[in-house]
Amino acid sequence: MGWRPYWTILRRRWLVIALILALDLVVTGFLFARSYRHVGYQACSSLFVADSSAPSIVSTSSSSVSTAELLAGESAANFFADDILDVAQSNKVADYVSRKLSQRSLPNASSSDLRGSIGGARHDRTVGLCVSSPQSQTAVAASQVLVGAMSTNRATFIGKALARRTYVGVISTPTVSRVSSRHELVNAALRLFLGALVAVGLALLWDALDPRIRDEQDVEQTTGVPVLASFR
Amino acid sequence: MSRVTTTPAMLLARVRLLAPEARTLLLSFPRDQAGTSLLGQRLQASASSIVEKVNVLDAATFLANDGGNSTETVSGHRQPSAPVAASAQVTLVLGAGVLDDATTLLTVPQVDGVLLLIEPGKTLRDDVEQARTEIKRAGGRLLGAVLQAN
Repeated sequence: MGWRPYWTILRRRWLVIALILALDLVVTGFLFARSYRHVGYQACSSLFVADSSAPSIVSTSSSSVSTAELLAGESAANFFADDILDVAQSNKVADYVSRKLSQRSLPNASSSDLRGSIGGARHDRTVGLCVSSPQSQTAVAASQVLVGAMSTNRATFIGKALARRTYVGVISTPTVSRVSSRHELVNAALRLFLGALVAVGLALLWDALDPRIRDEQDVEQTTGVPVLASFR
Repeated sequence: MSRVTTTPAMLLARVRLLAPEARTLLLSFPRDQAGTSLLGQRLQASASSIVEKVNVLDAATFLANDGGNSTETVSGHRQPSAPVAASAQVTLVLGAGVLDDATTLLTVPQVDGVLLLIEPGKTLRDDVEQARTEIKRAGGRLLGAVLQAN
Protein backbone atom coordinates (compact mmCIF):
# COMPACT_ATOMS: atom_id res chain seq x y z
CA MET A 1 0.00 0.00 0.00
CA GLY A 2 2.91 2.37 0.60
CA TRP A 3 3.17 5.41 2.78
CA ARG A 4 1.36 7.84 0.45
CA PRO A 5 -2.18 7.01 1.61
CA TYR A 6 -1.13 7.54 5.22
CA TRP A 7 0.49 10.84 4.32
CA THR A 8 -2.76 11.89 2.60
CA ILE A 9 -4.70 11.00 5.74
CA LEU A 10 -2.34 12.97 7.95
CA ARG A 11 -2.65 16.01 5.68
CA ARG A 12 -6.41 15.73 5.75
CA ARG A 13 -6.54 15.49 9.56
CA TRP A 14 -3.87 18.10 10.21
CA LEU A 15 -6.09 20.03 12.59
CA VAL A 16 -6.51 17.08 14.96
CA ILE A 17 -2.75 16.49 14.95
CA ALA A 18 -1.98 20.17 15.51
CA LEU A 19 -4.38 20.45 18.46
CA ILE A 20 -2.99 17.37 20.21
CA LEU A 21 0.60 18.40 19.61
CA ALA A 22 -0.13 21.89 20.94
CA LEU A 23 -1.71 20.43 24.07
CA ASP A 24 1.23 18.05 24.47
CA LEU A 25 3.66 20.93 24.11
CA VAL A 26 1.90 22.99 26.76
CA VAL A 27 1.67 20.13 29.26
CA THR A 28 5.25 18.99 28.65
CA GLY A 29 6.52 22.53 29.00
CA PHE A 30 4.64 23.01 32.26
CA LEU A 31 5.84 19.72 33.73
CA PHE A 32 9.40 20.33 32.58
CA ALA A 33 9.46 23.81 34.08
CA ARG A 34 8.05 22.51 37.34
CA SER A 35 10.54 19.68 37.65
CA TYR A 36 13.50 21.71 36.41
CA ARG A 37 13.08 24.10 39.32
CA HIS A 38 14.16 21.34 41.70
CA VAL A 39 17.12 20.13 39.72
CA GLY A 40 20.44 20.47 41.51
CA TYR A 41 20.83 18.48 44.70
CA GLN A 42 18.97 15.73 46.45
CA ALA A 43 19.06 14.89 50.15
CA CYS A 44 17.75 11.45 51.08
CA SER A 45 17.04 9.70 54.35
CA SER A 46 15.48 6.38 55.41
CA LEU A 47 12.78 5.62 57.95
CA PHE A 48 11.64 2.34 59.46
CA VAL A 49 7.89 1.90 59.98
CA ALA A 50 6.30 -0.74 62.21
CA ASP A 51 2.93 -1.59 63.70
CA SER A 52 3.49 -0.94 67.39
CA SER A 53 0.51 -3.05 68.45
CA ALA A 54 1.35 -6.18 66.47
CA PRO A 55 3.88 -8.91 67.27
CA SER A 56 6.99 -8.82 65.13
CA ILE A 57 8.67 -11.70 63.33
CA VAL A 58 12.01 -10.27 64.35
CA SER A 59 11.37 -9.61 68.02
CA THR A 60 8.95 -12.27 69.20
CA SER A 61 10.11 -15.61 70.54
CA SER A 62 6.82 -16.77 71.97
CA SER A 63 5.28 -19.87 70.44
CA SER A 64 1.81 -18.68 71.41
CA VAL A 65 1.85 -16.10 68.61
CA SER A 66 0.43 -17.60 65.41
CA THR A 67 1.89 -17.17 61.96
CA ALA A 68 -1.27 -15.41 60.85
CA GLU A 69 -0.86 -12.83 63.59
CA LEU A 70 2.75 -12.25 62.64
CA LEU A 71 1.92 -11.84 58.96
CA ALA A 72 -0.99 -9.55 59.78
CA GLY A 73 1.38 -7.35 61.72
CA GLU A 74 3.86 -7.28 58.85
CA SER A 75 1.13 -6.41 56.34
CA ALA A 76 -0.23 -3.64 58.53
CA ALA A 77 3.23 -2.15 58.83
CA ASN A 78 3.54 -2.10 55.04
CA PHE A 79 0.27 -0.19 54.78
CA PHE A 80 1.42 2.26 57.45
CA ALA A 81 4.66 2.77 55.56
CA ASP A 82 2.66 3.58 52.42
CA ASP A 83 0.67 6.11 54.42
CA ILE A 84 3.84 7.74 55.73
CA LEU A 85 5.21 7.94 52.17
CA ASP A 86 2.02 9.46 50.75
CA VAL A 87 1.69 12.01 53.53
CA ALA A 88 5.34 13.01 53.23
CA GLN A 89 4.75 14.03 49.61
CA SER A 90 1.69 16.14 50.38
CA ASN A 91 1.49 19.93 50.16
CA LYS A 92 0.68 20.13 53.87
CA VAL A 93 4.04 18.61 54.78
CA ALA A 94 5.85 20.77 52.22
CA ASP A 95 4.27 23.90 53.75
CA TYR A 96 5.27 22.71 57.23
CA VAL A 97 8.88 22.19 56.16
CA SER A 98 8.89 25.60 54.49
CA ARG A 99 7.63 27.27 57.67
CA LYS A 100 10.35 25.59 59.71
CA LEU A 101 13.02 26.67 57.24
CA SER A 102 11.79 30.23 56.94
CA GLN A 103 13.52 31.17 60.19
CA ARG A 104 16.88 30.14 58.72
CA SER A 105 16.58 32.29 55.53
CA LEU A 106 17.67 29.54 53.22
CA PRO A 107 17.37 30.02 49.43
CA ASN A 108 14.63 28.14 47.48
CA ALA A 109 12.86 27.22 50.71
CA SER A 110 9.44 28.73 50.05
CA SER A 111 6.27 26.63 49.90
CA SER A 112 6.09 26.86 46.12
CA ASP A 113 9.73 25.69 45.89
CA LEU A 114 9.23 22.71 48.17
CA ARG A 115 5.85 21.55 46.82
CA GLY A 116 6.58 18.78 44.37
CA SER A 117 10.20 18.48 45.47
CA ILE A 118 9.62 15.67 47.99
CA GLY A 119 9.69 12.15 46.63
CA GLY A 120 10.35 8.66 47.85
CA ALA A 121 9.82 4.94 47.68
CA ARG A 122 8.91 2.10 50.02
CA HIS A 123 10.61 -1.24 50.27
CA ASP A 124 8.87 -3.52 52.81
CA ARG A 125 8.74 -1.35 55.93
CA THR A 126 11.57 0.97 54.93
CA VAL A 127 10.57 4.33 53.52
CA GLY A 128 13.15 6.35 51.61
CA LEU A 129 12.40 10.08 51.43
CA CYS A 130 14.29 12.54 49.24
CA VAL A 131 14.09 16.32 48.95
CA SER A 132 15.30 18.02 45.75
CA SER A 133 16.52 21.59 45.64
CA PRO A 134 18.85 23.76 43.54
CA GLN A 135 20.78 24.47 46.77
CA SER A 136 22.48 21.64 48.68
CA GLN A 137 22.10 23.27 52.09
CA THR A 138 18.37 23.77 51.52
CA ALA A 139 18.00 20.15 50.44
CA VAL A 140 19.77 18.88 53.57
CA ALA A 141 17.90 21.21 55.93
CA ALA A 142 14.53 20.37 54.36
CA SER A 143 15.27 16.66 54.59
CA GLN A 144 16.14 16.97 58.27
CA VAL A 145 12.87 18.78 58.99
CA LEU A 146 10.99 16.21 56.90
CA VAL A 147 12.47 13.32 58.87
CA GLY A 148 11.38 14.99 62.10
CA ALA A 149 7.92 15.65 60.72
CA MET A 150 7.39 12.02 59.73
CA SER A 151 8.84 10.52 62.88
CA THR A 152 8.44 12.43 66.15
CA ASN A 153 5.84 14.92 64.84
CA ARG A 154 3.88 12.54 62.64
CA ALA A 155 0.71 12.88 64.73
CA THR A 156 0.23 16.36 63.19
CA PHE A 157 -0.11 14.81 59.75
CA ILE A 158 -1.47 11.29 60.17
CA GLY A 159 -3.63 11.82 63.26
CA LYS A 160 -3.10 10.81 66.88
CA ALA A 161 -4.73 7.40 66.56
CA LEU A 162 -2.51 6.29 63.68
CA ALA A 163 0.52 7.90 65.30
CA ARG A 164 -0.07 5.77 68.42
CA ARG A 165 -0.50 2.65 66.29
CA THR A 166 2.75 3.16 64.37
CA TYR A 167 6.39 3.18 65.25
CA VAL A 168 8.69 5.25 63.01
CA GLY A 169 12.42 5.15 63.50
CA VAL A 170 15.19 6.92 61.61
CA ILE A 171 17.55 4.48 59.89
CA SER A 172 19.78 7.01 58.15
CA THR A 173 20.08 10.77 58.42
CA PRO A 174 20.01 12.92 55.23
CA THR A 175 22.86 12.48 52.75
CA VAL A 176 23.13 14.88 49.84
CA SER A 177 24.08 14.09 46.23
CA ARG A 178 24.10 16.00 43.00
CA VAL A 179 21.28 15.42 40.50
CA SER A 180 21.69 16.13 36.79
CA SER A 181 19.00 17.68 34.60
CA ARG A 182 19.35 14.97 31.99
CA HIS A 183 16.51 12.99 33.55
CA GLU A 184 14.06 15.88 33.10
CA LEU A 185 15.19 16.44 29.51
CA VAL A 186 14.72 12.77 28.66
CA ASN A 187 11.30 12.83 30.28
CA ALA A 188 10.29 15.88 28.27
CA ALA A 189 11.53 14.33 25.02
CA LEU A 190 9.63 11.11 25.75
CA ARG A 191 6.45 13.03 26.50
CA LEU A 192 6.71 14.93 23.20
CA PHE A 193 7.37 11.73 21.26
CA LEU A 194 4.45 9.91 22.86
CA GLY A 195 2.23 12.92 22.24
CA ALA A 196 3.15 12.83 18.56
CA LEU A 197 2.34 9.11 18.44
CA VAL A 198 -1.03 9.71 20.07
CA ALA A 199 -1.75 12.55 17.63
CA VAL A 200 -0.95 10.44 14.58
CA GLY A 201 -2.83 7.44 15.92
CA LEU A 202 -5.89 9.51 16.71
CA ALA A 203 -5.82 11.12 13.25
CA LEU A 204 -5.68 7.71 11.58
CA LEU A 205 -8.45 6.36 13.78
CA TRP A 206 -10.62 9.43 13.14
CA ASP A 207 -10.17 9.02 9.40
CA ALA A 208 -10.97 5.32 9.51
CA LEU A 209 -14.17 5.95 11.46
CA ASP A 210 -15.28 8.87 9.28
CA PRO A 211 -18.44 7.72 7.47
CA ARG A 212 -18.27 10.40 4.78
CA ILE A 213 -16.86 10.16 1.29
CA ARG A 214 -13.42 11.74 1.21
CA ASP A 215 -12.02 11.86 -2.30
CA GLU A 216 -12.14 10.39 -5.80
CA GLN A 217 -10.45 7.18 -4.76
CA ASP A 218 -13.02 6.69 -2.03
CA VAL A 219 -15.85 7.18 -4.55
CA GLU A 220 -14.42 4.70 -7.03
CA GLN A 221 -13.85 2.12 -4.29
CA THR A 222 -17.39 2.55 -2.98
CA THR A 223 -19.33 2.72 -6.24
CA GLY A 224 -17.11 0.84 -8.65
CA VAL A 225 -17.69 3.50 -11.29
CA PRO A 226 -15.30 6.20 -12.45
CA VAL A 227 -15.40 9.82 -11.34
CA LEU A 228 -16.24 11.69 -14.53
CA ALA A 229 -15.86 15.22 -13.22
CA SER A 230 -15.20 17.30 -10.18
CA PHE A 231 -16.56 20.78 -9.75
CA ARG A 232 -15.98 23.50 -7.19
CA MET B 1 -10.98 15.94 -3.44
CA SER B 2 -8.93 16.47 -6.59
CA ARG B 3 -7.67 19.97 -7.07
CA VAL B 4 -8.22 19.63 -10.80
CA THR B 5 -11.69 20.71 -11.73
CA THR B 6 -13.52 19.75 -14.87
CA THR B 7 -15.53 21.85 -17.23
CA PRO B 8 -19.13 20.89 -17.86
CA ALA B 9 -18.27 20.30 -21.49
CA MET B 10 -15.63 17.74 -20.48
CA LEU B 11 -18.18 15.94 -18.37
CA LEU B 12 -20.56 15.59 -21.27
CA ALA B 13 -17.71 14.49 -23.51
CA ARG B 14 -16.75 11.72 -21.09
CA VAL B 15 -20.36 10.61 -20.81
CA ARG B 16 -20.60 10.44 -24.60
CA LEU B 17 -17.46 8.31 -24.71
CA LEU B 18 -18.83 5.95 -22.05
CA ALA B 19 -22.32 5.74 -23.46
CA PRO B 20 -22.52 7.16 -26.99
CA GLU B 21 -26.19 6.28 -27.21
CA ALA B 22 -27.21 8.09 -24.04
CA ARG B 23 -29.67 10.90 -24.63
CA THR B 24 -31.22 11.28 -21.22
CA LEU B 25 -29.15 11.49 -18.07
CA LEU B 26 -30.33 11.64 -14.49
CA LEU B 27 -28.23 13.79 -12.14
CA SER B 28 -28.93 13.29 -8.49
CA PHE B 29 -27.32 13.20 -5.08
CA PRO B 30 -28.03 10.09 -3.01
CA ARG B 31 -29.99 12.25 -0.58
CA ASP B 32 -31.82 15.46 -1.34
CA GLN B 33 -29.45 18.41 -1.11
CA ALA B 34 -28.80 21.69 -2.83
CA GLY B 35 -26.50 21.97 -5.82
CA THR B 36 -28.18 19.85 -8.45
CA SER B 37 -29.95 22.68 -10.25
CA LEU B 38 -26.83 24.82 -10.31
CA LEU B 39 -24.86 22.06 -11.96
CA GLY B 40 -27.65 21.53 -14.44
CA GLN B 41 -27.56 25.20 -15.38
CA ARG B 42 -23.78 25.12 -15.84
CA LEU B 43 -24.05 22.07 -18.05
CA GLN B 44 -26.80 23.66 -20.08
CA ALA B 45 -24.84 26.87 -20.54
CA SER B 46 -21.49 25.49 -21.54
CA ALA B 47 -22.15 22.25 -23.37
CA SER B 48 -22.76 23.78 -26.79
CA SER B 49 -19.42 22.53 -28.11
CA ILE B 50 -20.42 18.96 -27.42
CA VAL B 51 -24.09 18.86 -28.19
CA GLU B 52 -26.39 21.17 -30.06
CA LYS B 53 -28.75 21.60 -27.21
CA VAL B 54 -29.03 20.51 -23.60
CA ASN B 55 -32.45 20.36 -22.02
CA VAL B 56 -32.70 20.54 -18.24
CA LEU B 57 -35.78 19.19 -16.55
CA ASP B 58 -36.76 18.12 -13.08
CA ALA B 59 -37.76 14.50 -12.56
CA ALA B 60 -41.49 15.10 -12.27
CA THR B 61 -41.63 17.09 -15.51
CA PHE B 62 -39.57 14.47 -17.30
CA LEU B 63 -41.86 11.66 -16.22
CA ALA B 64 -44.92 13.66 -17.15
CA ASN B 65 -43.60 14.61 -20.57
CA ASP B 66 -41.60 11.45 -21.29
CA GLY B 67 -38.75 13.59 -22.67
CA GLY B 68 -36.44 10.72 -23.64
CA ASN B 69 -35.56 9.72 -27.18
CA SER B 70 -35.47 6.04 -26.46
CA THR B 71 -37.91 3.66 -28.07
CA GLU B 72 -40.07 1.21 -26.25
CA THR B 73 -39.71 -2.45 -27.09
CA VAL B 74 -42.42 -5.08 -27.08
CA SER B 75 -41.50 -6.24 -23.60
CA GLY B 76 -41.85 -2.72 -22.31
CA HIS B 77 -38.18 -2.13 -21.63
CA ARG B 78 -36.70 0.93 -23.15
CA GLN B 79 -33.95 0.63 -25.70
CA PRO B 80 -31.54 3.47 -26.41
CA SER B 81 -31.57 5.10 -29.80
CA ALA B 82 -28.83 4.40 -32.32
CA PRO B 83 -25.67 6.48 -31.86
CA VAL B 84 -25.98 9.88 -33.50
CA ALA B 85 -23.66 12.69 -34.42
CA ALA B 86 -22.28 15.12 -31.89
CA SER B 87 -25.01 17.62 -32.65
CA ALA B 88 -27.66 15.56 -30.92
CA GLN B 89 -29.76 16.81 -28.09
CA VAL B 90 -29.22 15.71 -24.52
CA THR B 91 -31.77 15.89 -21.75
CA LEU B 92 -30.56 16.31 -18.21
CA VAL B 93 -33.03 15.25 -15.56
CA LEU B 94 -32.33 16.76 -12.16
CA GLY B 95 -33.27 14.46 -9.30
CA ALA B 96 -34.05 15.31 -5.70
CA GLY B 97 -32.27 12.42 -4.06
CA VAL B 98 -32.36 8.82 -5.27
CA LEU B 99 -33.00 7.60 -1.71
CA ASP B 100 -35.36 10.38 -0.64
CA ASP B 101 -37.57 11.13 -3.63
CA ALA B 102 -39.86 8.54 -5.17
CA THR B 103 -40.16 10.51 -8.42
CA THR B 104 -36.41 10.49 -8.84
CA LEU B 105 -36.29 6.75 -8.25
CA LEU B 106 -39.04 6.19 -10.80
CA THR B 107 -37.00 8.17 -13.31
CA VAL B 108 -34.03 5.82 -13.01
CA PRO B 109 -35.27 3.11 -15.43
CA GLN B 110 -36.60 5.77 -17.81
CA VAL B 111 -33.25 7.39 -18.53
CA ASP B 112 -30.25 6.13 -20.45
CA GLY B 113 -27.80 6.66 -17.62
CA VAL B 114 -27.45 7.98 -14.09
CA LEU B 115 -24.73 10.32 -12.85
CA LEU B 116 -24.45 10.22 -9.08
CA LEU B 117 -23.56 13.54 -7.52
CA ILE B 118 -21.33 13.36 -4.47
CA GLU B 119 -20.08 16.10 -2.19
CA PRO B 120 -16.78 15.06 -0.58
CA GLY B 121 -16.76 15.58 3.14
CA LYS B 122 -20.53 15.61 3.35
CA THR B 123 -22.06 12.67 1.48
CA LEU B 124 -22.10 9.49 3.56
CA ARG B 125 -20.47 6.37 2.20
CA ASP B 126 -23.45 4.26 3.23
CA ASP B 127 -25.78 6.54 1.26
CA VAL B 128 -23.65 6.17 -1.86
CA GLU B 129 -23.63 2.38 -1.56
CA GLN B 130 -27.35 2.29 -0.96
CA ALA B 131 -27.99 4.62 -3.93
CA ARG B 132 -25.92 2.37 -6.18
CA THR B 133 -27.95 -0.63 -5.03
CA GLU B 134 -31.25 1.17 -5.60
CA ILE B 135 -30.24 2.27 -9.10
CA LYS B 136 -29.25 -1.27 -9.99
CA ARG B 137 -32.43 -2.68 -8.47
CA ALA B 138 -34.53 -0.19 -10.45
CA GLY B 139 -32.91 -1.34 -13.67
CA GLY B 140 -30.91 1.81 -14.20
CA ARG B 141 -27.35 2.22 -15.43
CA LEU B 142 -24.90 4.08 -13.22
CA LEU B 143 -22.46 5.69 -15.64
CA GLY B 144 -20.25 7.47 -13.17
CA ALA B 145 -19.90 9.90 -10.31
CA VAL B 146 -19.58 13.67 -10.28
CA LEU B 147 -17.90 15.33 -7.33
CA GLN B 148 -19.27 18.67 -6.35
CA ALA B 149 -17.81 20.75 -3.54
CA ASN B 150 -19.85 23.64 -2.20
